[in-house]
Amino acid sequence: MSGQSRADPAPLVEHFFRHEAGRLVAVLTRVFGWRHADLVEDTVQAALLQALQAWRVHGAPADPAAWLHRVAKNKALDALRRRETARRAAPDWARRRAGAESGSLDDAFVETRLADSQLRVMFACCHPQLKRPDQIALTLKTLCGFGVDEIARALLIQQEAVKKRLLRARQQLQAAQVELEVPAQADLLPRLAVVHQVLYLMFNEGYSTSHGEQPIREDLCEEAARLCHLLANHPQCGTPGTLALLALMLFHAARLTSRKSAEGRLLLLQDQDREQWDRGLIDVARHYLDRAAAGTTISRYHLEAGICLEHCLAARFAETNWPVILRLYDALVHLYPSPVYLLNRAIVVAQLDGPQAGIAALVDSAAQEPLARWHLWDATLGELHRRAGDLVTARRYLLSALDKTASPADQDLLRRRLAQCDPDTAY
Amino acid sequence: MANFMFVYRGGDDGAAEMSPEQLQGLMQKWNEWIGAGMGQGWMVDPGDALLPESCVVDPQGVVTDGPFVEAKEVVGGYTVVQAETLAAAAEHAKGCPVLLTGGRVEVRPLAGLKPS
Repeated sequence: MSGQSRADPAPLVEHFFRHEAGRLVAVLTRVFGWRHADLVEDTVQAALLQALQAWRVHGAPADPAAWLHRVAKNKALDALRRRETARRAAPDWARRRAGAESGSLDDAFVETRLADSQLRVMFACCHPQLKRPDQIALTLKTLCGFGVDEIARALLIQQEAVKKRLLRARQQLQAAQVELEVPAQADLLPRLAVVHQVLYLMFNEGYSTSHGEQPIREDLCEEAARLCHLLANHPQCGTPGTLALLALMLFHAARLTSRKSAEGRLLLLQDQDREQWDRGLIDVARHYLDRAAAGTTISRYHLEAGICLEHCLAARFAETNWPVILRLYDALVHLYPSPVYLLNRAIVVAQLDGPQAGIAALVDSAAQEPLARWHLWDATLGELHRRAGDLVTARRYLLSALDKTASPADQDLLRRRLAQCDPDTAY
Repeated sequence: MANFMFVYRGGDDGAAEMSPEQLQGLMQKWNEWIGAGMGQGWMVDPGDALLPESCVVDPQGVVTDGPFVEAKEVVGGYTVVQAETLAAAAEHAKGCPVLLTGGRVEVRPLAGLKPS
């Protein structure tokens, strides 16, 4: 072969292996059941390794997904044959659905069934009997193709803790004999609400700045939005709540790159370059939010997405429609009196009626919530006192906030605020 | 100029532990390395990878599965390059991605002259 005849192979799409691993694990888990999670993982890994070997020299084939599915199917058939042999030798080793599986294996890889399998596995990963941290870890491992070390980095926990969570979650799913299914109509909405919470938390985990910034964390946002897309495209699961949650994620995603300065520092909303916002993505998010409004229900996701939309509509920070945003926060606080919403509502009050009014709103709500350990509470009080001109009190709150966060990015932001409270340099 | 064969040994067990994302990154490195070698002209033939299934035929004509050698000795693929000396060929081998997963490159001069 000469150098001239060799065409450069088209590179695979980003995260191809990761997403295909998620699809294959979902399909094969449906075939083999949770009790054979190890077998499923080994089969998928073997298929990916074979792809690496076959493609590393001349690149991937024209339809890499079809190639990978064919190889995975053959490896699964081999595994089933070995199991069948073992079953005959020791009949009580594996009684479940032997024989019937190989016939259905071909159907399992049809595109519509692939999506259906992922949804079934999603409902199992987000089963109400599992603890919330276990649900997230299992979803990342099973549906998103994350390795243990990648989950550990994404969630900022030790690898051993990840392994424990995965093991515990799988044991519980087995013990509870959780069926792999999209819940029937009567159960669907409560079960869907849990899936929404898991995806929402996964997204926030990636988006939040409370643990410092790492590139892997943007992957969390991307994965949560991808899974939410799967839900949105399903006739029963694409509820107004699902569509609103997807809109919310896409509004945030559209502004992701503008949240960091060129030096990697965090930027507040008023300092962000709105030219960097992804207008195309904002339009897509608006489309989903319009569809979400078709129903009669209103969820926290509708309200949060509505707030995002208002921010996106303002060409400049000074043109923000604060009265509308305040009404949305009032509704949110009424539905879910969480500290995050109370705090953000107080910031909006300060924009409308001045820093003293914002401070009063914070102090009012502090009576109802144990917020003293939360650094953002002190940081916000510090900032509002600074704006009100009380630099001494501002410094006290900002220093207190600095004590309560371990995140370098947050600390950096707080130190810059503190510098503005220095009486000699204040403006 | 003489031709040399790079014989890749081992490295598959290192890849076996990788996550899907890491495997894709590794494949990307292979594609880039081969693309660069062919582009710069020192790589003559990117060669191929060898799949693990194998059998051995012995002098009696008996066919058996195997050979079952240690994972680090398994030949996983080959590439043909051209260079002035063995040492120069070895320099090219230092960029091979098989080294990233614990594999090794055996550099062997080919006996025949390069066809003109």
